[in-house]
Amino acid sequence: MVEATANTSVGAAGSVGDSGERGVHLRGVSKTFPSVKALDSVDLDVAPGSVHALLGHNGCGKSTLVKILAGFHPPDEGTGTIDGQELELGSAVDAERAGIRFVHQELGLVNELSAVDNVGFVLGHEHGLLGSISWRKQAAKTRELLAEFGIELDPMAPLTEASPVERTAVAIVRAVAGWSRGRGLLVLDEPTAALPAREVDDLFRLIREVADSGTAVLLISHRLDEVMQVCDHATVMRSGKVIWDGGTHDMSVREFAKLIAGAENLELEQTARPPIDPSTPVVLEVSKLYGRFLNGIDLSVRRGEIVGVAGLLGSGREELPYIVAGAVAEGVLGRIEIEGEPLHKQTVKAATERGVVLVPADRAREGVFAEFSVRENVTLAMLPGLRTGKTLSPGKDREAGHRWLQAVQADPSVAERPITTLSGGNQQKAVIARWLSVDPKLLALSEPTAGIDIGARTTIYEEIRHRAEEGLAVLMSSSDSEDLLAVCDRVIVLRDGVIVTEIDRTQLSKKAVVIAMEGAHGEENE
Amino acid sequence: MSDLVKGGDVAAARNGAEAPNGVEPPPSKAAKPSWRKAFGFRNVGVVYVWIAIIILFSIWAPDTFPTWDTVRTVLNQNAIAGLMALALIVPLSAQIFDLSVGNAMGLCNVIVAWLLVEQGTPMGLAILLTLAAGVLIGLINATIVIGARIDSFIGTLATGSLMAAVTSILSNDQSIIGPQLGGSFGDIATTSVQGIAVPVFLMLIVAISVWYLLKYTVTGRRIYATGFNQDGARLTGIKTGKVRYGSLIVSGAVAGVAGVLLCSQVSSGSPEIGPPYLLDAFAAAFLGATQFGGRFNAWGTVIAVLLLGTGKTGLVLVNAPVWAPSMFSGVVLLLALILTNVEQTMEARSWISAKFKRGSGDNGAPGDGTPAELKA
Repeated sequence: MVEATANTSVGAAGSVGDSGERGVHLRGVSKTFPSVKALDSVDLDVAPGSVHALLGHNGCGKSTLVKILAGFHPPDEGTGTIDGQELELGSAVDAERAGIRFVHQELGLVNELSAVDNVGFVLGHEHGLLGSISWRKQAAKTRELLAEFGIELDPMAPLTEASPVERTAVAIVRAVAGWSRGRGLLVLDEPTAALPAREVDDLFRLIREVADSGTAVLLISHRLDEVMQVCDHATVMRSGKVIWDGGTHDMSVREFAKLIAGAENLELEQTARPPIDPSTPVVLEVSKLYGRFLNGIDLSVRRGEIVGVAGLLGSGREELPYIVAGAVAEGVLGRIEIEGEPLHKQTVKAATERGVVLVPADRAREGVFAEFSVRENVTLAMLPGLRTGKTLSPGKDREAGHRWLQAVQADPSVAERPITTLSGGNQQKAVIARWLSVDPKLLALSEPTAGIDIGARTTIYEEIRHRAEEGLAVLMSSSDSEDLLAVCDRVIVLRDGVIVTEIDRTQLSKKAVVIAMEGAHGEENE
Repeated sequence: MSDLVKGGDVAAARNGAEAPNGVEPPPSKAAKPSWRKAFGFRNVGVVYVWIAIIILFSIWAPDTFPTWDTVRTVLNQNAIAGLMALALIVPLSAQIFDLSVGNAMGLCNVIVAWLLVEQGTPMGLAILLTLAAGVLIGLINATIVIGARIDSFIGTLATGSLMAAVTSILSNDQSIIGPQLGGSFGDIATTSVQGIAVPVFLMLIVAISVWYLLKYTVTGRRIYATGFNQDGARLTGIKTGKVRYGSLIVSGAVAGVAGVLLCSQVSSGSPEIGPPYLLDAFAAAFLGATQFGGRFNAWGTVIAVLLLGTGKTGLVLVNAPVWAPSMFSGVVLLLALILTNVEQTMEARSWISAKFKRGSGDNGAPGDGTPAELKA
């Protein structure tokens, strides 16, 4: 968000001239849900061969629009054409016939099965003599389909062995294969959410490949820098209306962010935080730390300091906050000191008791308890303090849930709802509240804003900064450089398990982080 | 604790001063009023079904069913089944299926009879040893499931089979009977107050304990957390292994109590008596879990046991055919689950439409599709 300039590396095929006939054209699409206008006369033109971004906050109507394209909702009004033919909006059958395909964020793959199986579910199987499935032919076909997109992958190996980008590729191949190439529309919903930075480029190459064949691509993403990188055209929605539509070439990330947020305060620019006084006491001191990926690092975090951790997948970036918080014990060697005292036991409980807590990376799997209410999620870590004698006090529990939701700027009236009814951003606020509630000395975070819209991100950044001002030490690891730029005093960059650079806030820029991270990449190729 | 309060207050005060987005006065509840929720089918549907069954049999058998005798029969005959169901819900809350609980009870039933009749052990010691055996069974189960990381479903199936074997060895595959099982030992389960026997009170004590444990203790919340999301629980500093270990010991110990009571009640240690309790106990636990907020809980389970018991007693009184009780259990369980689902769906719908009407804030929009913030 901060200094990132528009890096519009759009392929030649992206520049699309007037194409009245082909591509997807929606006119005057409106949709009203009980008492709310979700879409208000929306026009959308996705040119063949272009990668088109659909941007907007959660709740701006873009999902409704996508659901109408998929035939999930019928619109109240509006017409559509695709490749010159009438498109019956709201009919899933017609969307399928017209060649509209979707790759959802979760990909919809069965990871335990192979690429052959996953592709076969959709495209059908090749049969041998006697009608049995010929796995040889099936594998050859799958390999061929993947090769078209430059993906080499053992098609018989389970997808758990494939990299995230390879899995995404299988999902895309499965979506686009089997309909005449160069026609139709491919809709990608947050395809990069689970991908490490390096693999995002591979995915974008794949997306361009699809677009270059003449197929229209509609990309939904919260990561604006990526949108700038791969999309040639964008439509911005707010409150059910299209508020901006045009080429991405002469736009910047900042301009887009402003468009999306509207009046909302988006000042991610760092308010000048005074530099950390070198005499401030050290909260976390790590020396000669080894783990599965970490290969001997030294690091210290002072009171009130926010230290970012950058690095590619496998650099140790994901591992560091988990080790520090005692969540990973296996293969961990080295010394972790908290306020000068070594952490004796490598367990979450021991670390928590010493004031080191972790907001984990995978919110759905590790952070949130889906069957618990919001309150129960928030107060889980502070339960012993909510007792009267040995009995858990419902009154104290409610009060604490309320107070800590308020503390992270979430609406406390949701406290008794199942947490799954909240948006991702608010779920994350609840998880952060859970850990702030035990009055930690060091907050370790991994991927704190994955899949969260800009509004909630801003709140989370703000909250982290406020806490740091109050003396909390923060260790934040993220694959999203925006997180690091927004709040960190300094960023350590990991490569192959060691710290290769430390970037001070004065030198901190997206470019600096990416260069340091990717450095290994360049060197390897030399 | 005082630190915690301070931290929150500071934050709240700060937020109040800056009036950031997101903190609004709680909007007026557009949802159902709380009494309607509390008495809604989703919350206490099994109670309604129970009342309906009582009315039905009262009309069907007006002379024999609506009497104190029936009440006593239902309570006395289902107390042990209730204990068994309660034994299950602690491990079930931690997402552990203890399929050995029927065999464990059967084994304890035979152990106490064997000790008293064939070993001539004094009564107090025999009971104590049997209860210890129950705890030991729990320990063995826990070691298999948690220590050896074997899925509870399969692990306890295997240990249950082993228990069945030990039961056969001890009893020679015959019922153990003897004068030692009558007398003061027999009095344990048959002593009654106003016709309500001791096992009923024991069931109530266990129910209160389980209810208190799950609802009003830190450990209880941690048991649920472990069951809902084990990884999450671990990362919250919960000793999930300990929690799961403990939950299986609870079910083993309660199975031990049930075994002793059953032996005292029927004055014999019978090798076949335990396993049939398993299915009904699971049915009651799951039926109970649809009540009072949708997780495994003590009172829902007790009511489910009594509902099933009432139906079966009623069927006996109207001379229903032999297959009727099984049919009844199956139908009630399915019906309760289906109706709970229907109400959940309806509630979700009305909640969503209420959300649209209110259109407040970005909080609580489930995903992207709900344009709750359009008005903002």
